[in-house]
Amino acid sequence: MVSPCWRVDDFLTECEKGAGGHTRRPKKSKEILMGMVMKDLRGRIDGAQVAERIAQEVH
Amino acid sequence: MANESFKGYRGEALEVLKSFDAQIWSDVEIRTDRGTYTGIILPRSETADPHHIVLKLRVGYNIGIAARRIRSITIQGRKEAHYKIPEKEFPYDPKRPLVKLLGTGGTIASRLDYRTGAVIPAFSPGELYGSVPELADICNLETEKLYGVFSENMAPEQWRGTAEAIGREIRRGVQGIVIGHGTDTMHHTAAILSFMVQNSPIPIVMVGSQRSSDRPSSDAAFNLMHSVKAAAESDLAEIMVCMFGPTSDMYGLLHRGTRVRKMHSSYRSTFRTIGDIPLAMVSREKITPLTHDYKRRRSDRNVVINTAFEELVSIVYYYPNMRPDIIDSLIDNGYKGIVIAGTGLGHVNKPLYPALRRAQEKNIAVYMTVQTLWGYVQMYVYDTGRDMMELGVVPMANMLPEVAYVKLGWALGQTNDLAKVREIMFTPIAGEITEREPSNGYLIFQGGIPEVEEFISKYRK
Repeated sequence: MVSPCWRVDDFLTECEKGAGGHTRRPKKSKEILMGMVMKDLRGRIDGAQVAERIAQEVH
Repeated sequence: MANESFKGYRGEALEVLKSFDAQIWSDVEIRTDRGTYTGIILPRSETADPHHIVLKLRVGYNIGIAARRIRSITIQGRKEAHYKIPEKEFPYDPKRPLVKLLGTGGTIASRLDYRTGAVIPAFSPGELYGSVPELADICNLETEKLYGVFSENMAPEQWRGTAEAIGREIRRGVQGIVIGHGTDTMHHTAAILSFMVQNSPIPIVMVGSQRSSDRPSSDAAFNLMHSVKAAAESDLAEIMVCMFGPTSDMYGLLHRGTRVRKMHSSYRSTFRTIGDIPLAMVSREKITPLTHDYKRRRSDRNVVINTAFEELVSIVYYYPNMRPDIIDSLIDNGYKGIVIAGTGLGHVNKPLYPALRRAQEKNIAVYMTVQTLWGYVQMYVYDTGRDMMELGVVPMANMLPEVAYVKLGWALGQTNDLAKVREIMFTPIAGEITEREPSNGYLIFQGGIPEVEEFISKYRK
């Protein structure tokens, strides 16, 4: 169970580490990160917040 | 009737809650004669039973506790859910296609209120963006709630309204339509829409979920993503059902609306194409057609909507020792059409023959389909089949029983002339009759035998 006080940034950092093997497809990095975050946290996080944060990170 | 503080509770459950002054949203410890449970008391539907109290456990699951087993309730606090998702606007990208999501009932997506664990439905574009943000990478989304009914309550009124809404949206210029629908009767609605909505220039994709979206194993988000992708990007301009393909979440399948059927009460991969193979596989990455035999997307808006439907049509599932009074009662109640799901190649017992003759004399359209689902009605093989044809029973090739039911209602909605009805029934409109069934289509594995176990061990997750 994810703690309600976790932050998008913390989880995103973990996902980026995990997504290291996907850097050969940089155009897909946004979708890959989004998939990784939402796979684990869908329903427990505001997706709009995740999309916004990933957009900042990727661009 | 309970007031808002005990919303939905009645009978002994209400009495127990009142006796401990435990209102809904109370964070409680409940001691029963079988153990102690801590969680939040959730409101109930007013049609729910009067014997249980529903508790959202700390781990996220809901349980029902029999009121008669409760010894004490200790209130530790209160955590009321906010049934409103903080909304951000669904992003607009002029380069992306416009998809319209029509809702007929049920919850297509949701999120949890993490303080209480309550499930909050999501349907507006902003709410869906909060729940399934991946959709914004696929399309520009609009939503409209047509109905709020369970799928078993979908009926001709809702079929007509949905078909008319589809026509409206196509003429307005949307590039794809998704229809959220409960799974139980999704194949009935997919079939009737295949007849009521003809010559569609765009994909029309029906979608639902087998597991509610607050469960970790939910298929709701994936089905929604796959269906929206198919509606936005695919070249398949047909009425389709998009649901889980395999038992894992690797991809979804697009099934033709007249050849699809729900085949398992609880599996996520419950929808299967019968008598053919699915039209395509769809993942977040791509859409892979499995056949070339489909209607292509067009850029015009020339759709034909024909919602005429005769409601006095029934489907009769034959069983051994069926008595003629079943058929007689339909005749006496003014039914205009009967679809029989017969045994084997399409048979019923001899005691039904007088009733079938009576139906013929009353100008009632009687069509034969097969309970086996796979394969064709073959009424020339045995004398009994030939006898029934003489009684006016029409063999309906390999049309699925439910499809024959809705098509007969639709055909009788066009005309009362049984010769014309027959012509309509045998004129394929949306793949409801196929010339042959592919040998690689029929796959019903027999569990337990070594080769099947070996195969399943590779693919089941």
